Amino acid sequence: MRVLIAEDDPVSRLSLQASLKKWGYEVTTAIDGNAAWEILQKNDCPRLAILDWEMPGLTGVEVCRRVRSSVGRDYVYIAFLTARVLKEDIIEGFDAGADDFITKPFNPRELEGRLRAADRILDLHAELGAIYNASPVAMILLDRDCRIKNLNPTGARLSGLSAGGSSGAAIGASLRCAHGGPHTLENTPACTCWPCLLQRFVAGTQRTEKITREEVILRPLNHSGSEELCFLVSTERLLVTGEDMVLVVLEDISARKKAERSLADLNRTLESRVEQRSAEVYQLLRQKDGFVRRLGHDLKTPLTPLVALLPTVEKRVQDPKAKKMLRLAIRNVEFMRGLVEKTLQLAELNNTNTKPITERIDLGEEIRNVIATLSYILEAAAARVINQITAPVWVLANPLELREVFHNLITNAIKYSEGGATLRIAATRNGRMVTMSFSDEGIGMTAEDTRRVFEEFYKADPSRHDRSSTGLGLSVCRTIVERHGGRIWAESPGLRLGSTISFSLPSGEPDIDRAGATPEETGPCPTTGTQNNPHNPFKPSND
Amino acid sequence: MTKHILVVDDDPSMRETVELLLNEVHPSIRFADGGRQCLEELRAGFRGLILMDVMMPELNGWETIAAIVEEGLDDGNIFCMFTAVQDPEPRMEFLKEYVLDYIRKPFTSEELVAVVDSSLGYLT
Repeated sequence: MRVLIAEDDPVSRLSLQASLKKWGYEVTTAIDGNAAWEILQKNDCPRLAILDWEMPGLTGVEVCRRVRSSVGRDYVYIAFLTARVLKEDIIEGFDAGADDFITKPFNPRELEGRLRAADRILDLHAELGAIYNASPVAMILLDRDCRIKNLNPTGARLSGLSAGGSSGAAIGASLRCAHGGPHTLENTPACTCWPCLLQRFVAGTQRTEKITREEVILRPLNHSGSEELCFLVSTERLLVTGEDMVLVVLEDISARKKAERSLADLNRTLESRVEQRSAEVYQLLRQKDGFVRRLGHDLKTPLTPLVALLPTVEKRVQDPKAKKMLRLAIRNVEFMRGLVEKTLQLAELNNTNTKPITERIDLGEEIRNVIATLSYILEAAAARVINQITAPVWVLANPLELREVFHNLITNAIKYSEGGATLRIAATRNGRMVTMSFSDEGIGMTAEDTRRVFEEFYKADPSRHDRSSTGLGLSVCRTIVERHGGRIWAESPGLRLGSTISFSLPSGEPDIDRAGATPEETGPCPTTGTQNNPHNPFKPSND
Repeated sequence: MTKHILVVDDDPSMRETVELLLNEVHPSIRFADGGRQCLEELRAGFRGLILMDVMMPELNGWETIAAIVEEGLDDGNIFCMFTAVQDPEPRMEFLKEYVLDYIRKPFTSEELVAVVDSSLGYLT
């Protein structure tokens, strides 16, 4: 620890010097007040000063006042050395900024104790000062008149400002910004120069009395390049030694902002790339559907002679072996025909971007109609369909598409039941949706089947070259149900334990209205739209 | 009075299939390989049931009917369409009024005979 001894009396000075050296201090001496002030003005002066009260030149008190009035410098601990112990002197000394009084002749142990106390305070100052000076955050302490009371090196570097003296003028009066006028809130509300901003911050705390935070873009003084930096500014009202002050803390968040901006840019780029890729995928899907449609239609014409002529030939042929061959050919031609039709149906349903044209349909009534049209198939398969829908349950659906779903589910149940199917059909309304279920007692499904059975061309047993099913019927059902805003799913307790296909459709029952309450809402004629359009069951007639 | 049938299709297999299925009952069946030949037949005085393919080069089925209507040759004829494709394009929607029935490809022998028989009933 370095210490300055300013004492004109050589005996006292040398005695002190000897003691302090003995205690491990590095001693600098001054023989009068002027010499002491000379030393204390230097930046690297000793932080502990023992000043004689009465000295030639500047008095100890005057030196003390001068030290205290230089703002923004490291703290100097000042102890007065005096023979007189007058109360007035002590008061004057403390008013001038003294930290301690030492009486001559000094008691060595007392002096050593007092100096240790001084060391503690100076160490604390040094630690806090190190933090304050090293902080990357700019800290500027201002009084109510916008005079800078203190600012750390970062604050000084960024703002180009420095702490004024005790008589330091308000920033507004002492600094000028580019607009040239005095810095007042009235004439420069939008100015972003440092003095103007600091004034605004101080005024802000006067209004809110609280901590305020805002992000501001600032151009640091003497900053290389014209790059503007973004700061998070916190202003807080503080009481410092009884004085109302404002602490302005500026944290440079430019790097974070930049990272946020690049992240946002990246996200935007990513989004546009996803959009582009999606568009490409949709384009490919459209091309696929277009290709499937063209291929399907092209296959229909050459299938016609096969479909039309083979059964006729089979009837006319007498040879049993030839008949068997022809039946095999006919079965495969029928399979191809089914494949073409279902594939086209799917492509057609996918192609129609518009929502299906819906009507209010009573599910029970509709099921009875479909059962009637299938009666001879049901009889041939010894299948029993139990329609459990007794009261009207209304849905909003396209009648032709709904009929296709029923048809597929009923024929599926027959196909996948051994020796006489029993199919139970039920419907329940859950709020805005109606759930319909088709439960059979057939061959059942594995857990994987229930998940995948709606996939195109999915067949539970790929090794079985099953020519009775195209593997598309349930895909058609799913497409239709989803077009109507519903959902379709399969459940089965396991193989040989039967399965249930359920699907939901929007309810056709107005919440306030009971089913069929008004005559015009008692449901459409179930055969509407079929007569003029037999070649396309999926486009309702305009008639 | 004999009821006449005209099959308009660019595909020889289709024409031959229809002939094989119908000529035992309707020996007077006639054929055109497209819209132009069909118009020629009508200008030459054909009246009866016309089984018309939709997808044909040059004049498709709908365009052929439009030309027939324009020339005033539709009277006394009944049209049924062989279709693989769907409706006429929207600007030809009105032509549907001239079509009595549709036969979806691929059709069975029974389907064809049923449509032809019922359609012939409308001929006076």
